[in-house]
Amino acid sequence: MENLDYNKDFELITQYIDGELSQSQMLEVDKMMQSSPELQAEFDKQLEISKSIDDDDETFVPPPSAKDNVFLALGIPLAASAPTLTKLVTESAANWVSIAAAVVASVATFTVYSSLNSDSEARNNVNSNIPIVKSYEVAANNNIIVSDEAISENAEILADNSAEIIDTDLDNNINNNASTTSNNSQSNANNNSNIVSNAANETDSNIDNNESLASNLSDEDLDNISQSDNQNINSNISDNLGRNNNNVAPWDADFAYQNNQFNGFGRGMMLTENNNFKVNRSYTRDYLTVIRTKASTNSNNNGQLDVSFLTNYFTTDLRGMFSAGMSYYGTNYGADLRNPFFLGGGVEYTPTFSKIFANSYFDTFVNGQIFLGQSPSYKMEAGLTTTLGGLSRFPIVFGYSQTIVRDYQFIGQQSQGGIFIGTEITF
Amino acid sequence: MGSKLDKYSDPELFELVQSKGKLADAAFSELYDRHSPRVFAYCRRFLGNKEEAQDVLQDAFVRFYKSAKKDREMTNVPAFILTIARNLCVNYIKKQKPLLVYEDYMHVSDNSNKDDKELLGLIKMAIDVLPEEYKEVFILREYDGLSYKDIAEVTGSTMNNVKVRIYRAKQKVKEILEPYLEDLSKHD
Repeated sequence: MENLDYNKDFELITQYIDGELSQSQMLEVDKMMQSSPELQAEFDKQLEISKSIDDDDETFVPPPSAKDNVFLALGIPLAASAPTLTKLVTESAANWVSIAAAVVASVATFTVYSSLNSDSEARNNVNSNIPIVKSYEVAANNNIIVSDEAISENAEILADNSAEIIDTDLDNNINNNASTTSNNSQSNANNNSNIVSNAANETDSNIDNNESLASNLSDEDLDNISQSDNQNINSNISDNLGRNNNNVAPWDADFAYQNNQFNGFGRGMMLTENNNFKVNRSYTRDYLTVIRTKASTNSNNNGQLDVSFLTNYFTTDLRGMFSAGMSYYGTNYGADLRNPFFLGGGVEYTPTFSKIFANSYFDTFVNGQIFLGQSPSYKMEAGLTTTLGGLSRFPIVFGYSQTIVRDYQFIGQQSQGGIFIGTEITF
Repeated sequence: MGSKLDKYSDPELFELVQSKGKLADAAFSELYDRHSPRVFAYCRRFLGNKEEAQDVLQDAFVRFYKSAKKDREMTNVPAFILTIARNLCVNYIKKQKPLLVYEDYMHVSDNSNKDDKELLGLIKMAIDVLPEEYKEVFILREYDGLSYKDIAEVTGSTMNNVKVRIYRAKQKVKEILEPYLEDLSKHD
């Protein structure tokens, strides 16, 4: 071994460390190293490098989005990349799990919402059997007189009692100016007195006098009241209401209906049921905020919580919608928030045929959304919101959505559609 | 938690992918889960950049899937995927200008501190400046643990060529680290 071919021997050292030599070759190299410090030093250096690399605990985990991008580029459904899911349940079952989760979230949302509004709920439960007055015209014909402050709380009481109250010229002629269709019980008199007091404030009348006069009316007095007087009085009070509360006056009894029966959910009635209002003014602008939770069978968008701002600034029944929120979807059905936020816009149409349904409303909406995240996504959804009569506290939102997810290199895209169902809060 | 296909071997999964049946996509998913970390690590070390490594990883598996559709027999799936990834990396490198040349490295490596991670850091820097033909075999051997035979398959080279390239790659790395290794031996 005196004439060492270093290149050749060093190469053997390399192969020795890499385990590419046979047993006999390894023994030969061992002998060479024992007799050559240079070979031994070479072995030590190479081994030091290999050991350092072996001790390297740095791991490189491919980003989760890489798999989605591969599948998107190949046009393979993303659900196919969900091995953990497919072992447990089928894909459709997973969708139902997703929907169930959204329902639970919705119920929790409404529980919180209801607890925050327990006071108004208790108030609105009063007189729940009172017939509902649908429009201002009906209210006027029934001689309903509603004060400014008490309109929402007392309109039903007035309707129930068919109250007629006269609040002008009390000092001159009580028989001509005060009227009521209520019985003369003390309780009704007390109820009416509150209303009279408010109305009297508008006409500089005396509430104390009014209360005593109203409570002391005899049947004969009531019979003597003329219809023309009633109409004049109603007209005066209606004017007062209109001047003092422009927001309430247009839909008067409907507004009370909203407050007492729907607790703010029956917004569709506010603009569509009030024909009388439409005659006087084309429409009233309103601004609504709607929080919707939705669960979908669309595997690209399994769940969504969005906040929409709506206004009918330019038209009566058609509202512009601006929505933003959070979306959930994932190929592995884990907490996948790659496209967590979205912005969108659309329109919502409140159809006038909702008059057909006495205790329900229907809103239709079409909305487009752009998801902000690693994989650009777009979604179009069309849906319907309805209370279905008895579901005033839990309006059902359902419809269809189509989502397109593109890989970030725009190599391919995946389009998924599915129905969604959820609920909403309006305020 | 693995999938219901985790008991299948690579060639069996490859056949499922070729079958275009119901399990084809799931089989491809399983192959991806099984081999993507290794391929990504290789690309990451070879290219030195996470985003570029992800690009190549994705491209490699897209090409792998498309090639799986052809009527071919597959015995060494990881080597096949690595071959695709390696070719893509090489092509990628050719389009790029080298950021650091060998001489530059020799200049900056003098001021190194000697802590536990220092040698490893120096090795990585040395790999970065290795010529491409040496870098790929060095990574495949040292990090991926491939045999010379598999490296020859991946790189499309002969065994003898691989032996020489690996030897020269290690000599290059050793040459770069020589000052440090000499100093280390003195302290020992």
